[in-house]
Amino acid sequence: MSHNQDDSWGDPVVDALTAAAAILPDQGPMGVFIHHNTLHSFQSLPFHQGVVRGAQLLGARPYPLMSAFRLWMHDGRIESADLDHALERALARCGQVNKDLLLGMARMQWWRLIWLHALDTQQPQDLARDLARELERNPTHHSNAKIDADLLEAVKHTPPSDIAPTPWQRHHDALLDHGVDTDVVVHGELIRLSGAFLDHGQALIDVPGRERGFFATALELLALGLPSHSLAHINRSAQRWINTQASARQIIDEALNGLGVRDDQRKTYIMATLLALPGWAGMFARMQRNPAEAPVLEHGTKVPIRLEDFLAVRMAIELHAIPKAAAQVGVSADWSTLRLTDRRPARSRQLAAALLLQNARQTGVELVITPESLRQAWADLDVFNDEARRACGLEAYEYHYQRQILDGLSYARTHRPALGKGSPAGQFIFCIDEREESIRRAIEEQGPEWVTYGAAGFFGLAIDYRGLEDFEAAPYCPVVVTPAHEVHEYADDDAIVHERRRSRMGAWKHMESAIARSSRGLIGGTGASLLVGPIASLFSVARLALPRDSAAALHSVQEFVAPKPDTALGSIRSKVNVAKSGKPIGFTIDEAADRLAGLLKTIGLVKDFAPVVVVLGHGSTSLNNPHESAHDCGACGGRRGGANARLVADLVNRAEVRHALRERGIDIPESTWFVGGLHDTADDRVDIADLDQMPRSIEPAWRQICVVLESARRANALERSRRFEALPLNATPEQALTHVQERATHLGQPRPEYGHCTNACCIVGRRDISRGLHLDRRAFLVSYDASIDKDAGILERVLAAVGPVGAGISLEYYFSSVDNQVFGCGTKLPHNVTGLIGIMNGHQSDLRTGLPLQMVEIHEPMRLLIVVEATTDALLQVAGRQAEVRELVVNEWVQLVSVHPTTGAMHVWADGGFKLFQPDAVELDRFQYSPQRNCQGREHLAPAWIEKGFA
Amino acid sequence: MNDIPWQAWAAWLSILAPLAGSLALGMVALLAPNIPVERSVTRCMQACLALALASTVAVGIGNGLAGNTGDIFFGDWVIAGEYKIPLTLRIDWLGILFATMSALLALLVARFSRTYLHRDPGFFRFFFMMGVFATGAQLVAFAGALDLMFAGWEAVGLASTLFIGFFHDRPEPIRSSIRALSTYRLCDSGFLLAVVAAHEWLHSTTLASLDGISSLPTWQATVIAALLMVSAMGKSAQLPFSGWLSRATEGPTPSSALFYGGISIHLGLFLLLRTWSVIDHSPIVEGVGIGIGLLTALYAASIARVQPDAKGALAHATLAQVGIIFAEIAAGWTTIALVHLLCHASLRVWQYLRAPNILHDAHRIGEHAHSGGSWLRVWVPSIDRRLCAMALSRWRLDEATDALVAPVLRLSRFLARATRIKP
Repeated sequence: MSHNQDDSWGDPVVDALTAAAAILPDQGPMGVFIHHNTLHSFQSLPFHQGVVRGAQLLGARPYPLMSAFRLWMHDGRIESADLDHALERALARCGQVNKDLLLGMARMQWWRLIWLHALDTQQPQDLARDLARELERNPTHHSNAKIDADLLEAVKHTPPSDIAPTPWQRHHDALLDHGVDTDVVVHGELIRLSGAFLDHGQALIDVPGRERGFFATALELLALGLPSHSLAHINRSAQRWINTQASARQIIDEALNGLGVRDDQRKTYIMATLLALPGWAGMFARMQRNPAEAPVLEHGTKVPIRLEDFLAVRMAIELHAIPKAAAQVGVSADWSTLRLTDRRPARSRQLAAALLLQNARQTGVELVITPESLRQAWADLDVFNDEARRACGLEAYEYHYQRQILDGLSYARTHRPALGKGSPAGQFIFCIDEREESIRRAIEEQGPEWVTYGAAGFFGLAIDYRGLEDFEAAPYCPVVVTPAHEVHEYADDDAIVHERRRSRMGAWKHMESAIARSSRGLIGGTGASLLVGPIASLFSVARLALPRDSAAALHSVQEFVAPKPDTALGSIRSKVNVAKSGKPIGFTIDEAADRLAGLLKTIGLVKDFAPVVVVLGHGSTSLNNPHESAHDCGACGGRRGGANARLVADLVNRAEVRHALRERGIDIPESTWFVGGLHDTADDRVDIADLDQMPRSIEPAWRQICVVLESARRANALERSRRFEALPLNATPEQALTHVQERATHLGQPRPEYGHCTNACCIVGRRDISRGLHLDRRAFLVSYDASIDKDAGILERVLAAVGPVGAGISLEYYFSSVDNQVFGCGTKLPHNVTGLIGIMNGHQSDLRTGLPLQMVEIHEPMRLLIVVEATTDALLQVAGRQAEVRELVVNEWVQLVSVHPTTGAMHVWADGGFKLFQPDAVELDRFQYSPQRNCQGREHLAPAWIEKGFA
Repeated sequence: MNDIPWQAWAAWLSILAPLAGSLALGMVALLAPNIPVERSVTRCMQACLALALASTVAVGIGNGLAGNTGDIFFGDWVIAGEYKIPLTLRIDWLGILFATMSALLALLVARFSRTYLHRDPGFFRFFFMMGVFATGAQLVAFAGALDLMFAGWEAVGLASTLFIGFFHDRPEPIRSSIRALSTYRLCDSGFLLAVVAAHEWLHSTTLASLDGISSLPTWQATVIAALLMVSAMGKSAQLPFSGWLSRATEGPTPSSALFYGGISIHLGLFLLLRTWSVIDHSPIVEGVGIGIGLLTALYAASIARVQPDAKGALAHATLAQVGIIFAEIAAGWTTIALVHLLCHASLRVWQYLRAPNILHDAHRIGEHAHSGGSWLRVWVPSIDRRLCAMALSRWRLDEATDALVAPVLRLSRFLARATRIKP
């Protein structure tokens, strides 16, 4: 137990609250979903240490199970060479030497046998015992795994160490072993109270008195409520505490004293208590850190939120639940006494060890069994323990993919035909998002004159944006940036049309919300049933039988009743114009030019402009999907990025701005026109804004662009549909487009799109180095031209944005797929939105954070492989200046590879330094067009060469 | 059998088609090495449900053209001495309307679930139980005798508990499922006893003989009416048997919609409408029924006000209306009640199916000004606070039930120990 005890002399309650707040899930209200590293607070530790520590505290699995790794080995997803590479690293990490002989073989071979054959101790506890018992009882049944009597005897004489059970952390653990689960009562009470308190407006009425904080509100509710059978006298105690004006802290102390938790046990005890319901506790901690996310009171102020209040209420409930449960099973409720009654036996590993030797022998290895070598072998079983084996498995798994990508890039370098000298006909700037990889490829396959770029989807313009129908401005930029400007959308046509639409839309929305709310009441419910019920059944039939057509029909009805007016952005600030927030509305010419020059230089688009440059943000629309926002643009703060793209075009097309850009060394010719728009990644729609502004002279070029985009979005829909079993692999692009449109409008569709699922790598550099490669929608593509970046200043900006955002996405997917029950939020099917802030499983459960099973089911859990076309020196410079990038790379939460811009030499960051990577000269599969590659199956595809990317 | 009208055979078809689908799927699953693929499961089940819907509609058309078909006797199912279970269908507008609605909703939910449950490990199980449920609901709607109706009644109850416990790898769904199951068991004993009583006193359980209940002494009629009402209270979650409903939304969204927005929750009301002649004969039961319905409505509405989660609020809002309809029936307004019931089920299924959309809607409609309180809060804040506190703890109904059941459980544990023979 000693390792669990407090390591500081501070106040244990304060310490525990601080420590827990750092570990608890950091996910805000779900309306805006930002991907982040689930174990962010462990990022200061090396990856393997961090995940093991974090997972242990949260009761999760840090890596996939060994059974999964072995399956991947069997399927060829991990090859023998990959495992050898990972084993060598594991040996080095543990400071072991390969040359040592164990049981008559080299240590690495012994470790390999352990990796391949040792029972997984994190498997259900009885598995090993059952298996061994079964083998003893019925040896012939499993003839090829029969345990040799001699082996069993040998192991009995020098047994490997036993595994002690995890010590009890709090009363609940001990009482659970006695057959009673106190958390059923405690959590039921706590979830009802917290849910009502944190509600953002879903209930018809607020809980009274929320302005006093959770502690006071909950005490009052408990005091006024009916007496509870399972929490005897809690209302009397609550009343007493109210009368004595006890503070939250006093209740915590009273409960800890009452339950017999000694000072030196308190920190551990409280941490475990807070981590028992991590979602709700985490939401309190999160809102305490970000008060802006707390619910709003009537007068516009925010409800005060404190984690300490949550703990106090929890402890008050525990104080009543525990003694009752303890009395029921006849044990002491005093923690200091109770925790000593732990009589759980340690688990013997004898049989598992014998089985391991047996399996080793089956592979044809000659074992030299002596007591001394057995002792050493068992010692290795502790060094190369479960966690180390899984870490090794993960590295082998990642290495396999790394080899494929780097070999592919090296193939592209040697086989790339020279791109014609002809000037480009169209340039497209997309978000770096890996989902855009396929549509960019589809555009490029239509000819060498089509060129694409990738830039973070806010396109360098950090703004607070207010759309025509928004109530207030919201930030459209990465969460780490605070915008300095607001930009508003205005109706273009005469005020009467706009006003009529506003009032009609307002009336419609008011009616919708009135029906929804009144249908919960007695009289309103009857009225709603009789009036709306028959219409509802028509809606049900139409929306379920013909999801796409009925959605389109509804949309056109809406457009008829309240047509959307033409709008314009207030992008340039001519005179003093300040928003309510105090921020200026719109940019000055110089501010705009600075930002645009930054954008164009970052992506390396500073000369050879095409007649049309298309800037496309992205977003996603889907129904019945609480995780809808998770599919939007992370670089726009979890929102749809169309506004930023439109703003770029709006600004660049102004003569004054172009003039200012010329002063900054970027000469955009008069004959070039920018258009901005939005690519919807769910239904593959492309909406272009402000087309009416386009000069006549541009129109021929624009018509060509339209043809390219129309065909590209169909090809994109087809490539996406490869992953959806509902559409056959030989479908036409037109069918695929219809299919994805149906998905986006279908009420019963938990997978409108797969989002960032399958993301695996990030290529920073000129598009030339990856053009022509089929990367299977798994690569973030960031445009960066090292040749115009003298002091790595641009690289620094790029990596400072891309590193944390990419790592956040990749790690959230990693954790949610490795342990979907703890880090993720399980299957979507029983999800229940609560308080407009999050989801629960079924009628009441913890607030579920992370990603649902349906979003990660085809993901390959790996750390993001960032390949940068820059010298190792430039990268080291950036790492020296950017602390967060350095932390991610040095602690190996991402994998970093440098590709030399001129020589193409590859260096992989590993164990504290860059190491040369020698790519194999592989022959990639060659295809004319992407669809020929795509129709080869629904599995992940290795990089292939698409010839049309250049021809 | 020549004089049996075709409508009766169509009714049988609508009852048996879903079951046939489930049985066919079950046989394939048992005999084939692998569980059938999703596509064939949904095709089979949707075809059977569509057949059930079509034949129900056909029955309706036949009824409309040729007038009420009435009770059709197909012989006895079970004969044991004097005891007989007659195979009798009653084909009238009440049954046809209810059967049409349940077949339609089942088909819609099956369509919804085809994509919603894609790749779920319980896919097969889900559609298998859909067939069992649909057969049960059709049988309740068309049965012309209490025993036959009870068979359908039990099928629906079984499906309901299995859907609540659908995600059986977590403990909470299992706990909720067991609570629903035990409530059903307790209340269904009322149905069984009513069957026994009808046999004993009326020598028949057909609805036709129940219509002639006026020949019985009042107390006997009251006993039968009360027993039937207890059974209806369980299925329709009336007080004091409401606790299970608030925990019933543990299953996948579509099954919650079908059961607790659509059919199952209204099935108790249908039983009352079906056996209205019995209830009507007992003023005491009517009076108690009105009281229970209204109390339930108040109880549920008070909770629906404060419930912050989408499905919980919907469950209690549904219960409030079911309580009102319960009272309407008990008060004798059967036609109004039937219209109310059908409209209400349509509304709630739609709302349940869209429950996960609430964030999208909130975003689209915009943050509405927080309604804050209510007139009660302005006028009598102390009562409002107390009401909030009571409603948030759901009036401690579950705990009260547990406390009531605790001595029984203790006794049974004691008896179990006492009768155990030590080896």
